[in-house]
Amino acid sequence: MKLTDNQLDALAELFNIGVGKGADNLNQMLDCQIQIRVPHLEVLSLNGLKEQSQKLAPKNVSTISLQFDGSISGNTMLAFPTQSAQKLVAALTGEEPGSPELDSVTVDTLSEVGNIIVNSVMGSITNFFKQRLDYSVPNYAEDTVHNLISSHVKESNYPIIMAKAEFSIENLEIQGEIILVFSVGSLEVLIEAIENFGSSSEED
Amino acid sequence: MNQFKGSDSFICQNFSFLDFVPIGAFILRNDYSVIFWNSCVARWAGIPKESILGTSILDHFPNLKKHQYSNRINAIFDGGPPAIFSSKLHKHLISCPIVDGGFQTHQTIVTAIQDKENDVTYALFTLQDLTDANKQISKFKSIKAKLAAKERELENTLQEVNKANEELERFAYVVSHDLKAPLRGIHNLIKWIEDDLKGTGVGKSKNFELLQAQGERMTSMIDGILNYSKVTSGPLKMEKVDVQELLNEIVDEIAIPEDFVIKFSTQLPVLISHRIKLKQVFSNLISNAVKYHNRSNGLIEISANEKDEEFEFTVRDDGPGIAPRYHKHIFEIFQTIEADSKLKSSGVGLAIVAKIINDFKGTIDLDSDVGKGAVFKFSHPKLKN
Repeated sequence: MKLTDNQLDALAELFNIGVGKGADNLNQMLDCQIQIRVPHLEVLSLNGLKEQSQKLAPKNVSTISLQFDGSISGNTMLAFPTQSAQKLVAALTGEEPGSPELDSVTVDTLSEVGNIIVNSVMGSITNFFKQRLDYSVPNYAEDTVHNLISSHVKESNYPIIMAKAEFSIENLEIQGEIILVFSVGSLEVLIEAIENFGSSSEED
Repeated sequence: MNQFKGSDSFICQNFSFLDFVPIGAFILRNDYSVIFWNSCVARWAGIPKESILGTSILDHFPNLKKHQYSNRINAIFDGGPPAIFSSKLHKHLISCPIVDGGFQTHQTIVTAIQDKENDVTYALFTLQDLTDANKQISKFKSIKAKLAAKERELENTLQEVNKANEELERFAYVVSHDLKAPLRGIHNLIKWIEDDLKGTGVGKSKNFELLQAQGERMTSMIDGILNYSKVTSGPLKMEKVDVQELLNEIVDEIAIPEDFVIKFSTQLPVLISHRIKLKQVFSNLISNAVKYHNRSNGLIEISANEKDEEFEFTVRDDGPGIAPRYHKHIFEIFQTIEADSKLKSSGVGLAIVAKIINDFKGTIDLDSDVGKGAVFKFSHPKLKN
C-alpha cells in the first residue's frame, strides 16, 4: 500500500505523540529530562526493511516487542543499538556504562524503559479504535532487526513501518537512537481509523 | 474453594495453579482489592493469604498509591498493554524483607486479565526475584572496576618506568659523551709525560703504569655506556633475517683463533627480526665465548629449536664456565667476573644482549658452572612481517 504524504505525516504525528508521551512518563517517574522524537518514518516491505535496518543498525540490537490482536493485529518493536541502550540505562540509573554485553539488570531496566515507550505508542494508536486489544507479555530479545521481524512476519509484502527515533537527555548531554518497527496486518484499517477519527473530530 | 463469588471466583479458580510456581503472583480487582495471593508471595512478603484476600493492596503497600505506579496500574484496568516494573528503577514495589536486612529486588510484570463475559478487568502481578542476580552483578562490577583500576595503575607505572629509562639512557649518553673530552685530555697528558720521561732516562713507575691502565679501563667503560645507551627501545625495523647467513658474517668478522671450532648443530631458521640487533646478540655471545675461553682450541656450538610461538637459540661453549653465584648479575651493566685488565672487558656486552632480547620480547638464560662450559639460551618470538 502506497501512502500519500498526508497519510505519512499523520502516522509520523501519531508516533511522535506516542514516544513523546512515553518520554513524559519516564521523566515523571525518574525525574529526568529525556526527549524522544521521530523525525522520519517509512513504510517498507520485509526486503526493504532488511536493507534499511542494516544501514541504521547493522549489528544485533536489544529489543522489546509487544504483540497485539483485535481490531488490528500486529507487533510493535522498539530496538536499541547496544551503545544507545547502555547510554540510556546508565543515564536513567545514574550508573557508569557497563561492558559491551548487557547484564540481566541492564536488560531488566531496558525492558521497562522500552515497555513504557511501546505502551505509550500503543496508547496513541488504540485511541483511534473503539475496541480494546489483546496483548502478549512484552518480550525482550537480541538479534538483528530483520531477523526479529521476519520471525513473525511471514509474507514479504506485509507492510512494516520503520521509524528512527532520536532521544536526548538535556541535562546530561546524552543523545542516541532508537528504532521503532510497527508491523500491522492491515495498514488500511489503521489509516482508515485515523482518517475517520480526524473527520469525526472535525464534525464534533 | 475461595471466598469470592461470580467473576472474582472464576478468576481465582482459573489462576489457582499459580500457587505451585516459584514466582510471586497476585491478582487485583479494579478497586485494588486482592482476590488472589499465591503461596510464594505470601512467604516472601510475610503476609498470609487469609490476612490479605479481600482487602485493599494499598492498605498493605501504600507506596502503590504513588502517581508513578497508580497511573500505569490504572492503564492495565483500562485494558492497556502489560507493564514492566524493573528491579533497578523500582526496588520495592511489593516489599519482601530478607534475612540479612533490606528487601528483595523484583522484576514485576502486570498484565490485564479480561473477563469479557462480565466486562471486568483484573490485573495480574508476577514478581520475579532478582535479589541474588543483582548481588552477583554488583559483585562482578566491583571486581571488574578494581581490576580496571589496577590495570590503569600498572599501565601508568609502566609508562613512568619507560620514561625514566629513556631519560636515564639519554642522561648516560650525554654524560659519557661529555666525559670523553676530558678523558682524552688525560690520555694526551699521560702520553706527553711518557714522551718527556723517554729523554730523561727515568723509567715508568708502577703507579704510572696503573694510571695508564685505569685510564684505558675508564675509556672502555665510557665507550660501553655509549654503546649501551645507543641500544634504544624505540620502534624496531623488522625484516627477514637468515640466521645462518648472519652467523657466517659474524664468524668472518670476529678474530677467531685458528684452532677454535664453531659448529652449527642444527639447521638455523629464517625469521623476522632486526638484523643489526640480532647480529649484535650473536656477535657478543660468540666473542665472549672466545674471549673468556681458557684454551686455544675451544668449541662453540650454535643451535636453534623451533617452538609454536618462538625460536629458542643456544650458544654453548666448553670454556671455564661461570660459577652460579655470578649468574644473577651477569646481565647487568658493568658486571664482569674477572678483573683482568688484559681482557679489557667493559662489562656491557651481556647487558646489551639482554636489553636487545628484552626489546624483542624474548628471554635469556644462562646454564653454567665452573669447569662445565656455558650455555646461553635465548628466545625470539615468531613475528609476522
